[in-house]
This record gives sequence, structure tokens and C-alpha cells, in this order.
Amino acid sequence: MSRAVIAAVASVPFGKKTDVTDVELGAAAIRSLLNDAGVSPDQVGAAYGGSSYGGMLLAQRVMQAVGVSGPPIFTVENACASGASAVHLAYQAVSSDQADVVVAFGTESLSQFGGGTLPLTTRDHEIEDGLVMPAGYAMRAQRYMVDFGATAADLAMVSVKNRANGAKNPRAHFQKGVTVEQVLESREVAAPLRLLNCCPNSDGASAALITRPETAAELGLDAVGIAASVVRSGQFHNRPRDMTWPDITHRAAAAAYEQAGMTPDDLSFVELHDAFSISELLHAEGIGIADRGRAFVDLRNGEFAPSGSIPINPSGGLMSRGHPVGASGVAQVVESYLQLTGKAEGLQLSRADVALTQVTGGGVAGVDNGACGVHILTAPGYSR
Amino acid sequence: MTSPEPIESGPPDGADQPVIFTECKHCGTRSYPARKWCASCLRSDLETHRLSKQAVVYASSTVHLGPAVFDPPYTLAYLDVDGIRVLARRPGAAAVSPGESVEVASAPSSTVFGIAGGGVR
Repeated sequence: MSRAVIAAVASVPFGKKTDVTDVELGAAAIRSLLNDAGVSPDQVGAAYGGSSYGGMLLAQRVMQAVGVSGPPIFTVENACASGASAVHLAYQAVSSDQADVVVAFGTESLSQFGGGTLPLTTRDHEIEDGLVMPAGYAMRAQRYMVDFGATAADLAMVSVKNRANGAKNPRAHFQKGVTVEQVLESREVAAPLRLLNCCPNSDGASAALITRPETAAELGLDAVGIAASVVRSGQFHNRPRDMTWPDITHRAAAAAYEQAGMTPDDLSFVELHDAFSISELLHAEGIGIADRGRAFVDLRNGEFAPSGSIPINPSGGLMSRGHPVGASGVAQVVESYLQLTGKAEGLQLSRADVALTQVTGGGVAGVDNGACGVHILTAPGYSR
Repeated sequence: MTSPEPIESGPPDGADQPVIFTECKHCGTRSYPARKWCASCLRSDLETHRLSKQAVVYASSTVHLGPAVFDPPYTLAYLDVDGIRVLARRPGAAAVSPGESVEVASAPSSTVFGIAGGGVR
């Protein structure tokens, strides 16, 4: 049995929320979380808040608005993996008996930047040379297509699948499907990626309550087991690297399988980092649910659809649910919790026993990504 | 304990400056941009080298939606040269393919590339 479980989750619906701040979004998610769980603010023993653009003491500002002040509170910045890092630290706090009831959340307001590509860190020589996130993944896409024979239509199919899934998700930024033709005719962003190959800049917040299993039982809450919680950093070097292989994802997933005592065959479904359509193919291969260079074939065959052998991003993923950077890793946990407890309503999969969530991010030179978080979660009462 | 010296910035600004990298005399690790000490073994006995002009494209993308300061469309490429992966940029939307041979050079504030024999920028 896990030493730490997810006892409750909450998300505010993602989208463009220009009149609400990241603090207000985060506080709204956590207020729902605590109210729904029947947990009072003074029971919270620690909080970890993921955000990339929220600034100094973001987590304290959020927690003050929901009556939590006094216990240890940390703002966690790890680019797109900020939220997963917050969950990981909450897991560590509970499983090492530092605290019993811990809030992990992520919140982000990207409307403050308008449209276009996200502002990246300064003082990085590749960013100073013009690198933007879509361009990095675009180059990986070009090379993947050359090396393995995938086409622009294959990339489009990732968007078509995930937008169709998100169309049924009331928490998603986009709730409307797209066609292959619409993707292929959308505005060019960074060749071969077009606008509909890219996730939207979204505003939103998600939160999870991490507790001991006994505490969740006392509170009468459905406990989703945390079979593995792993964060890894990118391995730095200047040498040529195979950019079609997401090394950081593979290392994080391998460590997670080892921690859980599981293999990819044990998974019922996956929520992964589809910031760009190519990302889903790369990361599916990195976590071992598709053979190397073959994810696009599995996609063509419907294996990643909700009815397929290993559904990917049944919630709509970043592509449809949206990508409020620091919140995405927690949102994946929220969506997985709902599936694993049978509460996903119109999104509910027929088989939802074991979920893997994967989120990775960061544009810094010399690594494939800066940080990657992987969690393996199990349904209440799951036994192998 | 000795106090670390600040890391020098990358290639100096100014057109026609060579692109340089450093190589650790102890462990052989090559660094681009140049460093003050080796990020692998932390020693400071480094040699500075001029990057070869001929590079091979690993992957490339024309950026249509990017920071205005770079005046999109512009084309980025990861280039392999001297055992190092280098990001370079050039103006315009002319695509390059993996495996193509290009020339790499330094321009003010950036590393640029051009089609081999066709000059830079």
C-alpha cells in the first residue's frame, strides 16, 4: 500500500480568464478542494505551489486566501514540470512523515503575455539566438519525420484525437474538435508545426490533497494510490544528441516503473505532455507504451484513442485542456484521479486501474528538457 | 576553498568574429559557448579553439511566429561540427534539410549559418 495517497482533487476550468489573477485561480481551486474534502484550513500541514510566472511567494499569497498560514509553504518552479514537482514534494512530505495533510497545486495566468510564444528565460545562449519552444519541438518533428517516415497528417492526428477528447471535458480550454484538414491549413508557427499542432496558452489552476492512507479513510475520501513519484533533470552536454529520443522522459519513467514494481503493460491509460503534437509521439515512446519510431503507426491504428489498447490523454491533454504551465502537472493528476475513482463522467474509460502521468519542460541549452515529472497512480483498492 | 571566477560570455560580439569553443585539457569535454572552467570535471585548464566552418544540419525549422526582435520568418538549425551541437540562425524562410552541409559563423550577438559556399546571412 502507498505511504501517501491522493485523497481529493479540484480544478478550475482552464481557458482565457483575463480578469482573474493566478492567485485568485489557485485559491479558487484549493477552496473547492478543501470544501469538497471536508478539510479545514488548520488541518493543512504543508503546501507546495507550482508556477513558472507567478513570482515571489506565489504559494503563500494563494494559501493566505484559503486560510492557511503558518505551516511550511513553498513555491515550486520547474518550467512545465512545476506542478508535477509540487505533487512530488507533497508526496515526499507525507511519505516521510513530515506532514499528514498536504496541498499540492499549480496555477498560472498566461493571458498577461497576450498571444504568441511564451517568454523564456534570459541568459540562455540558444534563446538569445532565437529559440522558442515550438521551434525546438519543430526541429525534433522534422527529424522524427525524416528518420521514421511520419507525415504532417500523422502529427495532425494527435491534435484531432486530443481535441475530440477535450470536447467532452468540461474543464478543457477547447471543447470543440478539429479535422486533419483544419490542422494542416492552420497558420504556420514553426515548420512543420502549425497553430493547431500547438497547445494553447491558458489560464487555470489545479489542486490535489495528499495524505496518509489512514487519514483519507478517516475523512471518508476515495484514496488513489501513489505507486511512484519521480522527478528528473535533463542530462547536460554539448555533444550531438538524438533529439527523437526523449531521454529525460525515459529515465523518469524507468525510475517510476521500478519504484512501482510495474511495467508499461500494467498501465490502463496515460496523461502525457502533448505541448506540441510531436511531443505525444516522442513521449509515448520514451515511457515505453510504443516501440521506438512507431508511435505514429499505433496512433494511426487507434491504439491511443479512448477505446484503444492504451488511451493517451483521454482528458484532451495539454492540446485541448490547455497549458497553464505550472498547473498542467497537477491537472494530469486531477484528471487521472477522476478516471481512477470512476468520476470522469463523459470521459470515463472502461478500464481505469493504473494511470501514468508525465510532464516535462524547459528550454535551456544542452539538455532535452530541464525537468520531467512522472507519477504512477492506482485506483482505490487496486491490487495486482 | 578557492572562489570561482565568473563565467565569461560566449563568442565576442562583432561581425566576422570566429565562433569559439573550449576544450578541457584534463577530461576532453568540449563546451560551446566557451567556459572559464570545465562543467564536467571543474578544472580550469581549458584550451580555446576556433569552430570549423563546415557544419552538417541535424534538424531545422523556419520560425514564423517568434520574438519580433528576430524579425520572423527566420530559420533555425541545429548544426553538428567538431563533435559539438550548435544552434544557429539565419534570416528568411529558406529551409534546410537534415544532412545538408552549411557554413557557420558569428555575427553580432548570435551564431549564424549559410549554405556552404554561399556565404553567411
